[in-house]
Amino acid sequence: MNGEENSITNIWPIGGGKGGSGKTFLTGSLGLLLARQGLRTLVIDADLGAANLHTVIGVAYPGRTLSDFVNRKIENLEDAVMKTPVPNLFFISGAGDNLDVANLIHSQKRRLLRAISKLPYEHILLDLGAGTSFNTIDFFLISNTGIFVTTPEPTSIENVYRLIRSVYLRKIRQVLREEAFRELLKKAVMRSNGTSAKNPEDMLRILKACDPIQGELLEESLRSFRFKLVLNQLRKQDNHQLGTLICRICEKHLGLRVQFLGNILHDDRVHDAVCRKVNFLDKYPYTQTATDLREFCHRFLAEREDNPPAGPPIERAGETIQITANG
Amino acid sequence: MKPFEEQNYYEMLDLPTSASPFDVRHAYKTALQIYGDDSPVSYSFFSRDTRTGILANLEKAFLTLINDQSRMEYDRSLITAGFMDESEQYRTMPKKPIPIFDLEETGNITRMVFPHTEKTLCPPVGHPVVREIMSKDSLTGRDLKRIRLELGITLEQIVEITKIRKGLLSAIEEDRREELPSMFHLKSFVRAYADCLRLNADEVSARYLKQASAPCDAGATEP
Repeated sequence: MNGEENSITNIWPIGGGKGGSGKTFLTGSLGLLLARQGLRTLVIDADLGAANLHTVIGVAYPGRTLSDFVNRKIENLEDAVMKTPVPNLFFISGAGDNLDVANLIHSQKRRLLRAISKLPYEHILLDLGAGTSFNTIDFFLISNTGIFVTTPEPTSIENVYRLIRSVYLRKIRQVLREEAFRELLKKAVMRSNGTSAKNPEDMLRILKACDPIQGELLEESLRSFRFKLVLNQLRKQDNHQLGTLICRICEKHLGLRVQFLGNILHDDRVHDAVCRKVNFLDKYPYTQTATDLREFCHRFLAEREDNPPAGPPIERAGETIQITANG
Repeated sequence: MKPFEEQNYYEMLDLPTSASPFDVRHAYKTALQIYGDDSPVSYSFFSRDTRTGILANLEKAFLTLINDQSRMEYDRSLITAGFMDESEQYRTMPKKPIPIFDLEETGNITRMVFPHTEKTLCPPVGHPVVREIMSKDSLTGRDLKRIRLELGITLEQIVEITKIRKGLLSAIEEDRREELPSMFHLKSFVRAYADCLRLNADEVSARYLKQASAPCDAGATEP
């Protein structure tokens, strides 16, 4: 979608399906950590119609916003970029006075996406809204390195699966031409008596059976995704393996590579910091949650450089056994 | 990506074909963590029928692979179908004792230290130097040491086998009487030592003790 620009700029859409899972907080914290490392970072509030990222990063009254660009009040998206109190951290607000900005029409969206991918920053973080509307999903597909945020609650996990499948389906739709997609949909419904056509992985299977070349191509493009997952608001009593297992199920049943970036411990002080409109990482730098966030940022950067295949930690048990057996 | 129902049992459980029964058990446990009815991991991921199907498949996979007999049959069917190479099959390896101490500091503790060679297995009585020493009426520690060196056995090897402290063994070899234990203990230590050298334990210990219990100067002056 954005071939050459991507090699310079890294665009990270951050989404999660369910509201309240901490997408905005994570975006703000990650942006801050990246900027502190001297990387020119831009955070964009793409939660159109429900923007609130500015509060987290300490900009009380956003001036120019995305909607100015959408409504062509400004021609260049660069003009909407604002400075923040943190050096190297820049910000485009999604807040705006027109309340209908949530409903972008297709051409506006295309123009916006193209403009975003041309912005000259090292990292661009996109804070996406809840839900699985086309807006969210198209923003998510702006690069193949989206980050999913979920909490350990079933409601949140349900929604993140929903988002992953929606992105998957949208990708199928992008790759196939319109008629081919409709035909595929028809076939899928016919084969399964109208029951399981809702799963995109079944559709891919049907496509592969009917048209192996096209199916292979699609599978390849799905394989090119480098999704990431963060498990936010983990309580001490929760299963710490949850994130790894979620990644495994996605790999195994959807054929999507999802890398687990770590758990972030739940902390009531986050709420406290947001209420006081101060930065959590500055106010409580020596908490487990702050450490988790720094670790998350670290892993995030490390992964970008050398893309190591994330081995499931379950293998470790097997390894130790083999050592003793050989000895 | 193969659909789950078409995967073989190893793929279902994410196992290499050479996995041990321990690994199989472990993988099944992990799979239940993912696919179990109450698992938060796969919550809402599958429809009820799909989940039931997956769980039934997993159980079948586990029960097949955990039983040696059925696993062998299953492996054979995979090999004939070309999905698996015979060399990748799991084999139970008989467990051997593992030396814990790396006294020689070779960094290779997997090697058995005792040299089960023809040379040491047959009693070294035929050896000219050994025969000469053994013909003496009483044996000193130095004689024992000469035999040992002649046979090419190191003190560490004897420590490994007899579990006798190295300092004590060298005290025996060097006739440092003040460091030797009581006669009772000394006897059994020397017997063990002689066993290692494939000498007649009774004879050696008797002759050594005779020397060791003799008056001090007599033992020391003997050449």
